[in-house]
Amino acid sequence: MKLKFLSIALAAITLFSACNSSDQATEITVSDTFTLEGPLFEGSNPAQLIYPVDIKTLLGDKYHEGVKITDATLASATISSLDSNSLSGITSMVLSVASDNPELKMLELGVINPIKEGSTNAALNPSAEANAGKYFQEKQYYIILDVALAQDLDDNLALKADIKFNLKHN
Amino acid sequence: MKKILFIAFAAFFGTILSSFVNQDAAGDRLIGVWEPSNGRARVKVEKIGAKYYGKIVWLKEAVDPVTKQPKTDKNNPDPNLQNAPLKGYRMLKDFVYAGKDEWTEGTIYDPLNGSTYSCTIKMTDKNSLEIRGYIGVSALGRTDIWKRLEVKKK
Repeated sequence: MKLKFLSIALAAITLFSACNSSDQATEITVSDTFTLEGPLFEGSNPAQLIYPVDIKTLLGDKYHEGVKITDATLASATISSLDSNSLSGITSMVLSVASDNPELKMLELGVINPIKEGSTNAALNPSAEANAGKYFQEKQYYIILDVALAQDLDDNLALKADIKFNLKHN
Repeated sequence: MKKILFIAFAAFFGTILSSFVNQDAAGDRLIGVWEPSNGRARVKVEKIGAKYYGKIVWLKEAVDPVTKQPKTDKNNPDPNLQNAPLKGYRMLKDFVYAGKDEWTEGTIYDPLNGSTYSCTIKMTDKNSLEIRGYIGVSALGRTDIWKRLEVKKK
């Protein structure tokens, strides 16, 4: 009986290893600018990018027919100011993804709170759990940056984002 | 004959297009600032893409009595997101306008316990919403009435 259990366990582990061994990892960087159009209110203001998913370009040499991205986790996200040298007046930021597909629910990928006064850039703390893999199976999705301001701002605000994802694919 | 066909096609596509536009406009009635019945928060509904999301823009008790700092999402099941500010947090997510004054497919988050529930929204009049949060089936849930707030425009 014990031997039967061990055999099943061994078979399961072998199968699991086999599945894993076919997975590949690729790191990609999304570099873009979020523009928040003023007037902006004290509190949280959203900015969004429409991100078209082009798997061929994303995976480069690793692309093959039938490739599917199964996991996408945020490796890092750094936000810096384009208009000035500091992120003065910004108290916190949250990065999320959303999709028009009803099957896909919004995911928060990372957060920084508070932002040190005088910082020139902010590195968000990536979520421990969010897996945006299914977003990379869509034609496009939205990347949203919620920027919390200490006070109202009449001007536009432009922020440069360097967002790195760890992708797993077959 | 060609002219008649063209007019018929134009009218047909015009009708379809206008029904999409009307559907959009009907769904957008959810956009605005709303207050739950307990009066402890205000939630601003916005549209991202084709869906509707509501974030907390005001809290009656905005400061954590223990830390004396603005409240954070300390009950979030994801430990790395627990310091996200509660003011600004999207507690309503992913609502799709289903017609007949109803928004479905969404979720509602309770920051008091860090739980997310399935949710439907029914607009009973232009200033009132029935928000029903539930687990599994809609029959097993709770309904709250939210009221629209008029806000200053910049």
